[in-house]
Amino acid sequence: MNSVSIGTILKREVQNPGKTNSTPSLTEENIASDAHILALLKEHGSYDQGFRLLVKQYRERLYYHVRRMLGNHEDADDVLQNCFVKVYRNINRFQQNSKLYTWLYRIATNEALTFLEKRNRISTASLDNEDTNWNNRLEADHFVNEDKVVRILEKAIETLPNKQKAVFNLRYYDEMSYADMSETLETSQGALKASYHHAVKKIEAYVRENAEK
Amino acid sequence: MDKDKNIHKELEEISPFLAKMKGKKEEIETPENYFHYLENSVMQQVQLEQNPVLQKKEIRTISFWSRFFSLRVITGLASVILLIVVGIYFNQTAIDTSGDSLQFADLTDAEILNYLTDNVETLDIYSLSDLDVDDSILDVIDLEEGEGDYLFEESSMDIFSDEIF
Repeated sequence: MNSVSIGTILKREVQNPGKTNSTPSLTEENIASDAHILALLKEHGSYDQGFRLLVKQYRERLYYHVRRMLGNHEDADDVLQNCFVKVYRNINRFQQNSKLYTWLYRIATNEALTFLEKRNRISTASLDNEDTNWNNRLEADHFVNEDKVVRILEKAIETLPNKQKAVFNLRYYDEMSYADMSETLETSQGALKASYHHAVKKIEAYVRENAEK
Repeated sequence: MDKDKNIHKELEEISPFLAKMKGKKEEIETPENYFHYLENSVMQQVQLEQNPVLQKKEIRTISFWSRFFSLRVITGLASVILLIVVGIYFNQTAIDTSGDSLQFADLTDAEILNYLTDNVETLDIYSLSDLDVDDSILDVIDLEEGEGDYLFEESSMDIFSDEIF
């Protein structure tokens, strides 16, 4: 566990923002356009090539999104693989009425929400125990960082209802516009703005309460 | 992805505290080479799903001669040949065994007489008596003198000796 105080960390981060952001950024050099991917997927001969490109293009962003929703690597890995297999089976149904990436995020989000519902149903623990379970999952996840602030923030996000968690993550981490979030979550932009506002307030309260403990 | 430039401004308005933390995003670590593994694993899964489709395509493109010599056709031909051979065999057997259905009553006297004449040396009186043969036929059989006497003598003696005494 990092022994540096929360205040020090916050001060350092304000001075050097974004240096530890692990979410891959989108640049022209490393990105094949969605149009190119879809063109490859339309041709029978280049279908697999197009799909492989799609996986390569979106694997990291979708992984981090799913991982934030589920809290550990193993579950995220399972869900993401299922997600890509479903994409493979159903890509022909994609009519381009929405953007490719919002369609992919929608599938990944739905897969993650379905998984969370199953996990919650299986768990007979109380809300307090659920909090303990989350802590246990974080402890058991060998690939999670040990930064206290981040862990408190993760715990705060975990207290949100599942769909609100998705709203917060898409806006806060993936910096998605409300228009795209609306496509992804099939919810009105007004409802999403309100949901995000409430989520931020809840998280702030949780972090303030737990940061100095 | 269209990143919303107003996101940070919006967050600052809602929660300056959380806006300050925004720079400190999480550092999610993954197993070494995980994304490479993920890509390969997904491709393996979808290729496994594709197999039935590929097999169907192979059947569609099979040549006439390959189809002609396919296992199913060969098995079918072998079955037909076997049926023909078995049919011929049983038909032949039926012809051969048709003589067995000939009854004694169907024989003419001349046939019986010829048979007995030819085989008289191997026949004995008991065998003949078992046959429902007309006595007149037996009378015709030319026994050499004394050839069968011992039989009569011996038997007559043995059979009636007790009665004499």
